[in-house]
Amino acid sequence: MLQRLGQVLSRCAARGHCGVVRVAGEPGGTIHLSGGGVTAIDTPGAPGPEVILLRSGRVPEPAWAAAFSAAAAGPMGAELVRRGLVGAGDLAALLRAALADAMFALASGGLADCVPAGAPADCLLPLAPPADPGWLVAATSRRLAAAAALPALPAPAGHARDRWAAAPGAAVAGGRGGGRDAILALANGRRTIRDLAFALGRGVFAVTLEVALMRAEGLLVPAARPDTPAGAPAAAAPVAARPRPPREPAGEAADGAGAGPLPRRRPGQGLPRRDRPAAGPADRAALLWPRRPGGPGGLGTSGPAD
Amino acid sequence: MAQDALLAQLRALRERVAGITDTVLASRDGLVVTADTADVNPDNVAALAAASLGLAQRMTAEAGQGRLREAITRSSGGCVAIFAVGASALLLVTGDEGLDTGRLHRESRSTVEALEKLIASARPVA
Repeated sequence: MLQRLGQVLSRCAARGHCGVVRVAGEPGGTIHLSGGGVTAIDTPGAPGPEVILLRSGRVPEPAWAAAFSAAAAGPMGAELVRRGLVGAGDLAALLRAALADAMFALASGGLADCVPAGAPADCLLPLAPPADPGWLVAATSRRLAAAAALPALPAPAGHARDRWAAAPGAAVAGGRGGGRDAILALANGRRTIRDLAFALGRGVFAVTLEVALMRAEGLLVPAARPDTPAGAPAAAAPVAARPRPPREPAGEAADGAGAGPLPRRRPGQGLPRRDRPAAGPADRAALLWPRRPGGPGGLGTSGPAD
Repeated sequence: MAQDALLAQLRALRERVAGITDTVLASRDGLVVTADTADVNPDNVAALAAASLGLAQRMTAEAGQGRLREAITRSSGGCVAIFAVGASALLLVTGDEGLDTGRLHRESRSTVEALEKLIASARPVA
């Protein structure tokens, strides 16, 4: 399928296409083109330049927000450089790397179809000059081959599906280079490689390599799937149902309908207190139903007594 | 048990949509029914979600925009989406910056319908 995408991008390059190529698949995404060259890729499968700059801490959020407001009339990239938040060369290198990473995520996840669309879409940080599609496809092929050769990882598509946990006894003692401490701290059995990349503000391919190495060294283990007996994540801790005050008349809006006054919080009304006896699972589901005389229920009624 | 089935629906949604970090099913008055969370306090977000959903529905009505589909709070570090589940419950979903909210809107439909059916089937008989 990467070959098909490469053919589509080649045809776009030949005719100097300005617009987008919509990629269907998992994760899928949108490839932005200008004059046949690739300027950006939006995909939920890999962090974009904004996430990388913010999550990595290179650009503080308030500074980003100020630049964003000021850039309303001009390019965001130029504004970031003008404010000294990132160097021009650094930004170009980052945009290029993010492009390659997004393409890797698109290709390794599975491409169902790719369709050029004529209308250009807004792009906050386009790469200028645009990247040659041939270079992008070749770089992606190399990365796919490198990922497939990693002995400690499942299929390449696993970076968006398989979840990772710190191995028992893997001490988070600090001092490990390459961002490994951060990966160990975030590997909670729920995060995929893609999720780790977003949380760290790093590329999916780079995190893929790191996770493979850490697995080979026994620092990370694949987390069991949630539907397996050994892998069920902990459900919410039992919540104590707080005795509810009497309902205000016309206190809450009906679903989609107009309503009376907004509900008013009474003095002392707050969150359920954990020192009260916890409601068991059966009781908690019954919270959804109005109490009938002598029966369970919690919606609009008092909860368990102290 | 209905509780396990409800939790299974939340986990299945997280499996289907990349970027979801936490999900909570709560009553309309903000009490947690079940949750699949790691990064948020389910009690806190359930209470806030109940208030948010009520305000969002009120705003939809005030703006004359038909029926609320979901209330989304978008922030620099991700987003929070709240869906009504019938008249008695709500579903809260938190996600990172890469969460495709369009995909979430489409995929959440089947989850919301399944949750509604489970809740209806678990309703105490009079």
